[in-house]
Amino acid sequence: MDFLASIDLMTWLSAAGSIFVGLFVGMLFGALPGLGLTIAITLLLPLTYTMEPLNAILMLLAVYQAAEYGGSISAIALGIPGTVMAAPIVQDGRAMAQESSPGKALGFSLYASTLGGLFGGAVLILFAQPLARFALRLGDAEFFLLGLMGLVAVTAFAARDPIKVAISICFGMIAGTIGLDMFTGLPRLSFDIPQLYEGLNLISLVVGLFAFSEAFYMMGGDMRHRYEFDTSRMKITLTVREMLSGFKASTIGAVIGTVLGILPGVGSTVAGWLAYSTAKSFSKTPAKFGNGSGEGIAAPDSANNAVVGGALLPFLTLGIPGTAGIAIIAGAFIIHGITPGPQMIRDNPELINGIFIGFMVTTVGMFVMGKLLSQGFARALVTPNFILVPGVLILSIVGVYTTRSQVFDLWLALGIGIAAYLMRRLDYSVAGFVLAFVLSPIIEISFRRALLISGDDYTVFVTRPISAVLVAVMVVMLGFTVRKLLRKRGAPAAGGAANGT
Amino acid sequence: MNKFKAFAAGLGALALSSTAALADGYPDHPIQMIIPYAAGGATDVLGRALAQRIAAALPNNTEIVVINTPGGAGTIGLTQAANADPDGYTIVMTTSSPIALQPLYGLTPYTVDSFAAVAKINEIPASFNVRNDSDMRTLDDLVAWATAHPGEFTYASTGGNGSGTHIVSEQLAAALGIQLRHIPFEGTAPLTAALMGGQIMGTMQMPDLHSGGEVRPLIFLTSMRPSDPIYADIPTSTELGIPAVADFFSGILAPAGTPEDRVQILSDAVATALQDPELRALFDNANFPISYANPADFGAILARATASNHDELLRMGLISQ
Amino acid sequence: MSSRLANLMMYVLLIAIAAGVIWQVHGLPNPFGGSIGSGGFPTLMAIAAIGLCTIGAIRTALGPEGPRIDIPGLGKVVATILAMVALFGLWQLVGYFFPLAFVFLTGLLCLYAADGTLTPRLVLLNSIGSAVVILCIYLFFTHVLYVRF
Repeated sequence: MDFLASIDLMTWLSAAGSIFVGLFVGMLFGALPGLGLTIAITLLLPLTYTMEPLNAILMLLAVYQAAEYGGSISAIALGIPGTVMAAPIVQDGRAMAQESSPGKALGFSLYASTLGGLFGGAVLILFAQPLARFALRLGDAEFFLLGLMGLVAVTAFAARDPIKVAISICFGMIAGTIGLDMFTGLPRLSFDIPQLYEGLNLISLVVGLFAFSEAFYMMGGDMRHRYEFDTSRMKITLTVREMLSGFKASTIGAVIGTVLGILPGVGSTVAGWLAYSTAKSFSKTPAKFGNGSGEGIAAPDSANNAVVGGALLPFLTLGIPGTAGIAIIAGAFIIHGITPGPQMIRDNPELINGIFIGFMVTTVGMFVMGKLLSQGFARALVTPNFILVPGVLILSIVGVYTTRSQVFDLWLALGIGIAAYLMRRLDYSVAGFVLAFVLSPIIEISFRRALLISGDDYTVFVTRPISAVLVAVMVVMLGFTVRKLLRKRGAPAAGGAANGT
Repeated sequence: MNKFKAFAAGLGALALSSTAALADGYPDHPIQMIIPYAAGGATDVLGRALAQRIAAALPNNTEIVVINTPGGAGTIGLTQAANADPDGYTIVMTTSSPIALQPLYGLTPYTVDSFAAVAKINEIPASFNVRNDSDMRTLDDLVAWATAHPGEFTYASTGGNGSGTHIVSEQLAAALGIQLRHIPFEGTAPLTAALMGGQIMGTMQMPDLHSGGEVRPLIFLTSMRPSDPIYADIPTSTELGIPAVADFFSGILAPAGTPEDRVQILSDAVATALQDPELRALFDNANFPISYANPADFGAILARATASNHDELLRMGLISQ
Repeated sequence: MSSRLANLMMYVLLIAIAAGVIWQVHGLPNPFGGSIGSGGFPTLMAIAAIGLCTIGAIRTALGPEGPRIDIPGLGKVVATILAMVALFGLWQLVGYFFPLAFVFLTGLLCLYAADGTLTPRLVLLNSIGSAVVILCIYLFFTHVLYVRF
């Protein structure tokens, strides 16, 4: 890497400055419900026109990376995920923040995010070429099975009544089919409302399901109540022992996140859920999941950030953006006349090396920025609800409107919010609904398309080598779940402590 | 819909009468340019770069504020533009599909008549492709294979069924007398991956040989090909006389009823902006050949593209009237 | 309302929604081959939902009455929802988001603070606070992000 010598101090400083700006904006926007990656990019994109190509790219990467983490800050501090990716973190993050220590909850989240980011980056740097090739061999049959596996993840989210969980899943699936059906070009369940042709707006959904319904929930309590924590509990830090306790879960999350990031089109939204359920089934204390488990925070958070490195991999090597986030960042390449793909790697090795190094720096920078910014957000927990609730409402309203200037999206969010509030009161599963919603298009489209390609040959789901492996994995997973259920029946008091893998 | 049209027309008349008095100073405050796609995408970054140059070319160097209104495959942004005051202070940059194709399905509150054409900016070339290592080197190879294996050639287009790339591919198949099987995909990324992974045999999209990719064109179904010399030998359907020619373009529209002199001022500014060497390089790099058309010509192009799409949709049975 | 009654009502509502889904998609044509049309997947899910709701309803009907369900802070929840409806409706019909948002925010702050005692001083503080917040939102969103409210 002799180019290191040729890079002077100014280059480093301007790159560091770009990363800093990107991290700050990304984290802030990621944490505010309703705002997110897209709006942050809208804000920063005009700046990138005059920047050096590498700096522009690093700034947008920093935004992406930081927005992924920012979403979990508000999930933990407010119980409102800033992004849909942070939804799996709400349960444990909120529980730990309220019951023991907000600083630790945010700490688990931050340490895991950093580990996930570094892991994704390392995989990107070391194995980019072979992994991108391998990912191409996965097709619709495999994506369908991955979707089904994702659905099994819901069993990890504690809920009292399995029938109500199943009903929540069914309606999440139905909600996911709203909009134009790509196979026929026909609108489904959209009642001739143009705003619904692309499906339920994801931001309206997140704000309605979490921000609005959570605000309604808060009104039921004492609005003047404030949580009190001594300063040591507000500090975003973990002891070595705590770090080790979350290490396994973070690693599981990092692997899952990287893999799902690499698969083009499968969607980063699923990574956190899969990581959560996998970490639970590998955990020594699965019973703690749902009640403020550090592992329950670490696994999905690590996965969400590992997705970024994973998704960059097919983009840099093959020119295929793996996630919507990467597709947005692609703008920075276009502005500077760079076309990602094999040619770029051949012609522009300095740029690639710069991106690799910058990506790692970004992740470390995120850790530092996270320590600074999360502190402020943790304060939201000690703010009394009569100030917090109106604040959350007005920011959510502005955020939802900002995404595409449609008052319709606000009506939608309000409707979803009221429905979610009632369903939560009756013990339906919001987690099941959201999970099914994000998986619904993957499951339906890949199923129909696999059949379309194979000419209605249903064996396609088991005869392809990789899909056969996936089927086997699913059977084993189901077996485990059934065994666990049987054991629970036998010894309800033992909890999940006996479950070793 | 009729109510809406009447309303829009009324609004237009109102605006005409009230603005005639102050037409001289146009433009005297910032112009809003709606981009109906998310920030960061190809249309957006090119549109923003263009907006800067248009602003510099306008009288008074009036600022142009870019507003992203993504959603509905571009139709939400166009709906907003159609509803805006036709005073020359709201324009929209669009690609062909939301204006020349989507309204034909009757799902949009606007039609092509809800807009005044301002300027065409560029063509978006697209080709029928196979994977680079495929044995099919020419169009004849494709015809030979597809004739021997009717209906077995699977290909994907950049939109679902009924998208512009799907329509022109079916026109190609009909013209060549072969049967192809269309597999719908959600966008460029998954379909490129599917082609490279061997899930499907062909695609209808922008090829990527110029970036070292593996999507190799057999024939361009647009009248222009990308500027990269690597494509110089690939024929276009126009050159071969095959009646499968798609009009994919980007252009700028204003709400119907915008005063003609203002449309002309805007269009001239676009023409000047497109002369900028830096901007040309940007479009070149993205492989979008610049192809300016003035309001009258662009209007004719819109009408032609709409009519051709309409006929093909009828023929394919995707619409009934 | 007992939890049994509330659950039963919800099951009936959900069955009705699922039936509505089936009715909405049943007639969708399927012009492009493929054995599963546009309606296939939603229909399958809706049927599953109806089946599950029926099982749930039977279990609930045979089960105990359950504890009373009450919605804590119902007054505030309803007032907030009405305030949001008013905000969105007026904004859509009349416009002027920022003045509306100011009234909305001040109103909510006073409503929630009324748990304690609402002094004139508190009302004044609330309006000043709201004005500052709305002003910041205005400056940032209209002049930096160019969103038209």
